[in-house]
Amino acid sequence: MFVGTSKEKFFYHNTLLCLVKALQGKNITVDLRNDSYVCGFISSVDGYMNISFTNAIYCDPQGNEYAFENLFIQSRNIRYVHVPEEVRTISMLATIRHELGYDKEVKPKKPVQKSRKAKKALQQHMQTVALLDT
Amino acid sequence: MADDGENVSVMTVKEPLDLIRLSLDERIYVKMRNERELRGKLHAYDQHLNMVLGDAEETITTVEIDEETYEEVYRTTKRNIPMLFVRGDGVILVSPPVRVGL
Repeated sequence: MFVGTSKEKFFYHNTLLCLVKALQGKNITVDLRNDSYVCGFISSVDGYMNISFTNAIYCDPQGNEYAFENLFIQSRNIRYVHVPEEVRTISMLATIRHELGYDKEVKPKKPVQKSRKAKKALQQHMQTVALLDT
Repeated sequence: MADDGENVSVMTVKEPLDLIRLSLDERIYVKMRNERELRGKLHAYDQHLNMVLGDAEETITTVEIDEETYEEVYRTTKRNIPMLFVRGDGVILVSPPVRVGL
């Protein structure tokens, strides 16, 4: 069960956040917006896709490497997340698709029942429009 | 597969994202910010245009000025990633599969 505010739960159940969340406890590479990247062990992912690493290597755009025991990436700065091989399964994709509801049929909405007052107002409006036309 | 094609064409398109749904499991072209382009098989997407691309090829275009002739030189670097999660905020456009040249 996902723990978080209602907004975070919404993102978890309706966006691909669930995939990133599934990478928790794995060693992955994340490319950042400023051409740098981070490799490390994901300790947690929150409802906004902010990622916490433990034992991470940060590589800056110039190619210098820095090791960190703990590292937090704000979600805004993420460009790509490389999906490791063990997660790259067909069943995982099928689960995601089912969760996001691509195969769901969208039911047409029932017309809203108008009150007598509203119907009368609409009728009067249409009469006025008809008068304008003539 | 032919059956799927039938279903897809029958499927109603009511909002722009439905057009992307038509490209599921197809190779698509994604233009990203910072002169980056991606080509890959679309496995999944969501409302933010976060996407999962399989066998993705990233093309980065950089412009350099030639020091002698002062001409602009475009250089492209490519790399392949077996599976990539792309965050939606960097996406500029998504194009359905092109039959020729892909």
